Amino acid sequence: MNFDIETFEFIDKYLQGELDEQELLLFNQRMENDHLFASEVNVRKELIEMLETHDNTNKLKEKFNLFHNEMELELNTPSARLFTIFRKQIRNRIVITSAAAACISAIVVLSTLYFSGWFSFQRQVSSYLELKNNIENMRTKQQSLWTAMFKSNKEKSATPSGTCFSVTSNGYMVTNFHVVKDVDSIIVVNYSDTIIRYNASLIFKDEVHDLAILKIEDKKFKSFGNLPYTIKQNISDLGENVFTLGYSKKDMVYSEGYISSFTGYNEDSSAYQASIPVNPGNSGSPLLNSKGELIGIVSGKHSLNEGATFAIKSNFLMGIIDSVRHMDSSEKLVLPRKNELTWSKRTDQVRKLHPFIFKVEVYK
Amino acid sequence: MKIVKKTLYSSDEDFINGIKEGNDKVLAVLYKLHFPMVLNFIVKNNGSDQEAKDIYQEGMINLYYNIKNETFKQESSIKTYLYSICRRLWLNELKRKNKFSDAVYDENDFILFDQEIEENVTDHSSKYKMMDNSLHKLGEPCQTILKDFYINKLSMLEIAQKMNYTNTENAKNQKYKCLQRLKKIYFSSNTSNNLDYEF
Repeated sequence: MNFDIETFEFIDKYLQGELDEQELLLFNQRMENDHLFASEVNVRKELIEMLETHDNTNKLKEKFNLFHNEMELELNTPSARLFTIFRKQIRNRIVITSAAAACISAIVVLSTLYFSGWFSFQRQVSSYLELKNNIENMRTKQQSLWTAMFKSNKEKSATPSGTCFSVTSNGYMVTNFHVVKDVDSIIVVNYSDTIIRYNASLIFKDEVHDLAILKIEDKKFKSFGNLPYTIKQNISDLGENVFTLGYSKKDMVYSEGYISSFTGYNEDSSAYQASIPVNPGNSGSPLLNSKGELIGIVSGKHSLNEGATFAIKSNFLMGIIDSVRHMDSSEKLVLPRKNELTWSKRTDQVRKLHPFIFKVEVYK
Repeated sequence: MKIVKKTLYSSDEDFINGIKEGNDKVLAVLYKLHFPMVLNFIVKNNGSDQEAKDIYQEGMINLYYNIKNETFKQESSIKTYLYSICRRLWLNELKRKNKFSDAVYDENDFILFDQEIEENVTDHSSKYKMMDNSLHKLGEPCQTILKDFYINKLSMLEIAQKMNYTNTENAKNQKYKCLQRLKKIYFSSNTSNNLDYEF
């Protein structure tokens, strides 16, 4: 396979094109006759071709490197920066997508809160339980449906609703507005030795403080006589013993407790928080201190916290009575001045109060 | 200036003609035009920008010889051609590094051209690598002697003077030995098909 150096030089000369005519003739002759020689020539040709290609490729690579450096200079950024630019593009895409997702979820949450009434600062929040006989309400509604379907419509049935109490001797009563909201007629009933019923009408409402003034408009009614309790003008102290009387069932119910906070539901400054057990039907009950002074009107309780009852402060009641006077000069509201309960025992106080506290029955 | 440059050689035909004429300016414009595309592909598929540069240059060399040897088919655009070659080269590289994953991130607006052509195309690269490895193995002073004689076309006298040989006969002897060795190295690596030779 390996030829000597002379033959080698001979082939080189041929490949360089340095052979003269005579030598070329000799070369061609040998190519035809000597196959080993011929293959050696071909191999050499290929090798040198490859060598040339290799060299050209290297030169081309040098050129490309030059172009590459030029390009980086033109872009004025090192290739590392070029790299980060592309990375950034991908990252930006992710940021935009996640921002959009966050916006959508925020909108969904806010709209859900809005439609569920989270943003309304009214009392009609789920955790504020009005002490109205709601269940009773439902039952009577169902009953009235039943009677409407199967019996002739003899008469409208009354719905027991809350409690009210008189503030003047000439028949003005106070209760919660939510007790007498959207009703046709109101009847106040006192279950003492005898059952006393009076027709009453709504003459003033204060939706913000949830207060209503009723007036007895009945031929049977003449006067309550002197009221034994007074309305306290100023704020009560924390820890003051209080008691209330209300119609959470058919008969009157007594309960007692103490003032636990100066503010009501959601820090509402128009109400007290009292730790006193009350039940639906107690709405509109008077809250009195141990001296027999009216200090508030029970309006509701916290549905989750046991023993957190809310009562509207009596000075707001005074404000309402004033506005009723201003509204219509024919309304003569004379508030009681003399407190007959101050030195009485609790049982006597309750007994004396009993005739002035009524159950409110409404017809819808 | 830059804008004029780019508008001068905008079509594939301009590029092909320019390369055939050996116009370096055209080559430079072409080089700069398509690099971002390949960089993007390789970076998105676990590559660095240095690797992108190497792969792109290999792809460009393939394109260059294809155009020079008139084997470049005008059926596909230069852009698609470059993308396809660089993609193939990079996937081979990933396979070699055992980093290959099935999920290849591709640009959406590319239609890859024939797999068969892709494989033929890489032929040039492998031959180049083989010769590169062989020359490396051969070492100095053989590399310089062979290149000076066969490529730079220096005479044996000049080589003898350059390499400090006492006479031309010594130089001739040296050249003979060098070429025999290169032949042995090159063709042995060729027959054993040892393409993944590492140096």
